[in-house]
Amino acid sequence: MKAGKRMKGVVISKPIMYGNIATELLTKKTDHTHKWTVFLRGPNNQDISYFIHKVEFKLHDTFVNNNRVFKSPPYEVTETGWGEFEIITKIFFPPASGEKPISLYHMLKLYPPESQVQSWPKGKPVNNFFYDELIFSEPTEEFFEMLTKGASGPEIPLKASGQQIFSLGSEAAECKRLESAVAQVTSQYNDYKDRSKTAEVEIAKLRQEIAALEQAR
Amino acid sequence: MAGPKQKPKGLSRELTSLYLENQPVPVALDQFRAKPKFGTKAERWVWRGFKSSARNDDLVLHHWTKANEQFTDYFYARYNAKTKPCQYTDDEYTKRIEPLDAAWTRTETDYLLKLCEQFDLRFVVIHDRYYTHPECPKEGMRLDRTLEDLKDRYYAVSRVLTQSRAQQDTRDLDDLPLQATNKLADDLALLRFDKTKEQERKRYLEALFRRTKDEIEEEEMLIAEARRIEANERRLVHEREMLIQSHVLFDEVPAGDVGPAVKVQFSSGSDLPLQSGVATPLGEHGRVRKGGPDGSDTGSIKSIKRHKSSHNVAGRHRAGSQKADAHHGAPKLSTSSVDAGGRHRTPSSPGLGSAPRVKDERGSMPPEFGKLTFATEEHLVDPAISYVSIGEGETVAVAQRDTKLGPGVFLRSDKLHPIPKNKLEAVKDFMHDLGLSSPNTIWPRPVMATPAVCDRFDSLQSTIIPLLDCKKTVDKLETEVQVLRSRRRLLVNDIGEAKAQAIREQTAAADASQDCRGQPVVVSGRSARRRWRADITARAARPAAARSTAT
Repeated sequence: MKAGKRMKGVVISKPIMYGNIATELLTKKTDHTHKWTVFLRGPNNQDISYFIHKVEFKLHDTFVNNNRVFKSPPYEVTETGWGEFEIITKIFFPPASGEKPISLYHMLKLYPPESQVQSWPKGKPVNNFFYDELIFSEPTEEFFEMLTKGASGPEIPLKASGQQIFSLGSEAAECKRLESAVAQVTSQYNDYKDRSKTAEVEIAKLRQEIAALEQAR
Repeated sequence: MAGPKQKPKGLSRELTSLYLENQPVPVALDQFRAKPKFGTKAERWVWRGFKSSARNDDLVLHHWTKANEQFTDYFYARYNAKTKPCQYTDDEYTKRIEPLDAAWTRTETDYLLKLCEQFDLRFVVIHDRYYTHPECPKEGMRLDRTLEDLKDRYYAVSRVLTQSRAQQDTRDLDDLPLQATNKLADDLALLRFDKTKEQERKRYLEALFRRTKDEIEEEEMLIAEARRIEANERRLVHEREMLIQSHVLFDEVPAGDVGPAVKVQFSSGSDLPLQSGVATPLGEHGRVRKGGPDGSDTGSIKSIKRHKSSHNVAGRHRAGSQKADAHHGAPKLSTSSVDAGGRHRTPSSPGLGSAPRVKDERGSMPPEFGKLTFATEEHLVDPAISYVSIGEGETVAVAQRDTKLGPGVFLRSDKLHPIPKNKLEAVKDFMHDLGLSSPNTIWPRPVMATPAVCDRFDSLQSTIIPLLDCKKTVDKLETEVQVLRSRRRLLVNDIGEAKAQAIREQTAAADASQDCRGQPVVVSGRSARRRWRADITARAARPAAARSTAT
């Protein structure tokens, strides 16, 4: 099927959220210690199926049917297990787009981070979320229609709430942090630059003195 | 001792013969084959003489033959193949052959044909014996006949003869029957000889034989080059075309040339210079933001121009149609506006002369445009914008990072600038110290990879790297300072405190003023004179050094 003409200079980006939630199993029947769900959804819990044809979650080989395919939302896999491994989430786009599938890689996280292991209350789920944006560059006309018509509602929530931890607020906060970091780094850089200058001057002076002293020996 | 006749159990006869003496030695008896018996009687063979038809004399040779055999011909005479060169009559000669070539006389042609017959058309031999054959006609013969000349003459004569003979047979008919024409064509094909081509061919062969080693290598390299070029030709052609295409696309504006601030005042709905020209033609495609980049603000970082407080309108395409009022409440954006997701870029403080976002979708002008107000959130902007033409002479502002994308789907986090591997760990640790980068990843990535965040993340990355380099050099320089300091201390200890002090003062004085002279010199004794001379040279060297450090 030939894809339609691509629209030059047109770039559409769609935000997505993916990752996993893991909770410790309190009654352990087998040697599985955790129950986890790996998912792919929109940051505001909105519908993303209008530009996604299917999603494949590739789990560890030890799982039965380790390639889980979903053609309709919710794009989630819930399983039990004991180990952390890399999950490959492959997103396929509708054939009208003529786009190749794109893969996301992330580790399944079951245990809370090192620093908080001790203080982690029992039964509290461990969240490992990632935010990213799919950039559709020069989409075909058909796909463009799909992308623009299918959007419903704001795609990023204004404030973080519950599971939706990525919001405009968090974006702004991160920008602030980054900006201050950049300012910090530049000031440090200037400091170091000055230090290097003074050091160079000192070196030249010392070299002079040493030369003179050596002559006088 | 066991007797020889005893047969020990479990051992073979041969083994016993090895260790016991006086054993009977087996001897092979001569076995002759019995004489084979034939049923028939023996034939009678006779010593007979014979003649061969292949010979042209009457030599009689002898060999054994069966008595009852008839002698037909010497068995191997059949292999005496002789070629028959053409013969012509005088008539034929005068009519057909003579007009061919004036350089050949009748006698010479006859002589040539005679040689051809004698030597079976072996032209190498013919050519060799041409001038030394006993029957060579000495007069009227050119003395510079090459091999090709002889061949040429012979084949020309043969061709003419076959042609004329074939036509003669059917003189009565208008044209030759098909079979005959084919046969004629075949015969003529056999007699093809192109003198110039042959000479050329032999010249090439000779040159090929006489190539030097260098020439052979050069030729091989050229062949390899040619093969490589051919193999890559398709790819190169394709690349060239892509290059041409991409150049044509962007040739309206040089990318990155964002300088002049094209201020678009959107305070009133009517004052929209860019808008008006754009509305209609772009109607079909859904809109791309238009805007004007404002002046850039460059800190000490050159990487990406960031606009802290200026208003910049992102030229990125946002699709989707939605009333975004739900979010901000305040802005009264038209129904035709907005991005899929209510991600608003809002100007920071209205005091700076807002340049609100222009969203024009599907060709409809936002009716409430003049009344746009925005909540004062942090302004998250796209720093670098370049203009892209999308046909029909219209240009559109697109964030520069997006122009470098090819067609296809990408993840924004993949589009961060890559860090060289040897610095990766250092940068990661640094980011971690700052508390910024997302954990569990191979290379640093921001927590929330939106365009604004990614731009800032990129700029952060690209400032950290020079910082780390600078740190390294500072460390190096400072250790060098330490080393030099300790060295000086040693020298001072060697020489003595007072003297060192004096020298230090001298150095300081030299630094203070460009030319230093006028230090009193004490001259007393040889060593002192030597010291004095050393002092002079040191002093001479010092101004030079001082001048160089001062610059």
